[in-house]
Amino acid sequence: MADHRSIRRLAISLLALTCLSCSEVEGATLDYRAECSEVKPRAVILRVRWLQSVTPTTAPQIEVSIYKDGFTTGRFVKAAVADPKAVPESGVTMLAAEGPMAAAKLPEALSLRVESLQSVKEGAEIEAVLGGLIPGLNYYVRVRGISDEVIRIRAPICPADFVDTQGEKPK
Amino acid sequence: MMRNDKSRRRILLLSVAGVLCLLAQQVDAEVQRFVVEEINPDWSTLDKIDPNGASGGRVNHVAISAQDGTMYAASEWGGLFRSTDKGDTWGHLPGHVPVATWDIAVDPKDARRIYATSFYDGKVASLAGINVSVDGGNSWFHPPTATPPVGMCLTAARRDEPSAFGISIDLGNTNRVYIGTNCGLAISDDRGLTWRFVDPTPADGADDVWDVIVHDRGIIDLIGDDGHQRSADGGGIWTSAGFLPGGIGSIDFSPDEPDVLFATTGTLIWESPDGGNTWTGLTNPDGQGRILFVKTNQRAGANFDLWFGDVRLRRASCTTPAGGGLAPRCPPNTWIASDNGAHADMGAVAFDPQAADDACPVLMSSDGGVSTSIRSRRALTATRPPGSNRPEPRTRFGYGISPEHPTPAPSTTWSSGAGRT
Repeated sequence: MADHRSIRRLAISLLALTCLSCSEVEGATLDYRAECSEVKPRAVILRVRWLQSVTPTTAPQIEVSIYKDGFTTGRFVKAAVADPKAVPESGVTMLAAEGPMAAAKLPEALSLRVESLQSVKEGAEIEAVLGGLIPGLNYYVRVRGISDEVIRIRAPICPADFVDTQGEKPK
Repeated sequence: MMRNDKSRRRILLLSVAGVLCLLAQQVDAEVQRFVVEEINPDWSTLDKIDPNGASGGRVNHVAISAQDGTMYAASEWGGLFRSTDKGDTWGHLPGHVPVATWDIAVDPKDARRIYATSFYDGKVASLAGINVSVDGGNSWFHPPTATPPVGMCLTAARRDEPSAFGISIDLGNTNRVYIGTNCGLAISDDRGLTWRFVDPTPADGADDVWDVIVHDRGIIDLIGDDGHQRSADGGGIWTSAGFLPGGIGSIDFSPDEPDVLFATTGTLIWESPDGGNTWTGLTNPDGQGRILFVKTNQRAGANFDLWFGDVRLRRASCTTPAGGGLAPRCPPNTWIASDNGAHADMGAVAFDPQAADDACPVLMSSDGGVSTSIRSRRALTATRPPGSNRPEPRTRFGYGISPEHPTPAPSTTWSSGAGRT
């Protein structure tokens, strides 16, 4: 039987762990969540959801930057998220926005992909899943056409000792 | 039966690898080496063939007193630990209430004054964040001014749930101490008795400052949610090129040039030749996603070492050019693994604080607890502080394991340890 000290210790650990790995979500209209991938060790994914019932003001486009002023200085990447059928199973690479990043090599931290785009919650919401985020980095995200809000979210750290899924090789 | 065969094969392979490793060291005979010894009392029986089979519990940061050689360790979940005999024995410091500790630093001119940081621990009126000891770690206090002013933080929760991170003491004026927090930068001008909070980017509310260094007559460089920021006037005016992405990070500077900086954000490593105006990426061969750190170490002449830790502890040999300039000081992708035989997933490395140049790495922390360099620590002068006239009770790091359960402590030597000094 676990005594109360053990439970308290566990609770504190979980709480502190949450502080280290959770994502900071500061928004209301859109639902954002960065988490560790369940299929790819050490990989981070970002889920972005919005209501299907929202009428887009323009064709919805998801945009991501690693810079606080990225959207005003043109340093961000983008991908259309209007039609789930337009995103194949292999995903879609996000492209640099027009501006200073268009001609330059993309920073590693912005080599992102839309891994999936689908209806969820029985068609009530649309969910875009982004991959390729760098653990521990802050990302700024918005979905143009759906909401004007810009969300900052920290990609969680996803330590995994076993990265070779075909064998037993540790670390 | 099959499992036995597999085990035998694995042992054989590891043995061959170990022999090859030893042979490789022999070839490198002209290079000074140190032998790494795990000093966690509860080492796994797997340790001799698999250091990652052993676990002392993660230690995030370590510190060594320049005055008396006392060692300190900030564990992930078990609070603070102290050793007064060069790491042979360690004792828990129960006077420090928060257990999710991050960093620890010793006043270089006063061995009894210690600063420690910790994550929010879930308590009402939490003592987490900044704590100060004036008696060598036996007792601690959380100064009232170590709580940020109302309305300063990006969110109210950041004030109510305090966390603090990297610590830097101004070597030119040890009264001044700088600590990164979840609500900007905390600055003390009186050795930790009182604190004031500064937000380098006040337009959007104070957020995380993960690491800070003060150097070269008071230049402050920090890294956090808003990337790199620099102040040359004690924290009044801040500048940033806005290039470095924000997030969890660490920062250090070249011992030869105040404008040459090294930083990590996420799993990325960066070098700046010009005080943070431009940054060049260095390759991280691990990319595990554990919390990275960078640390520089002065070598003789125009050389210095850049150390970083992710899965492994690695070192690069860097050179300061005679005329300065914007050329990289460190090779972008030439790292020397310096933790052979040690437990993976690094926390920190601490050098002999009593040496000027060519200081040897004495302590290394990781998910496996703390390791010490036998050769390096031999040179360290350790004198027990007053009131500590006996060895600390043996205990293991982390997970709240208390020292009332000391265990026999067979120390093991990582014969393949290949850290170089």
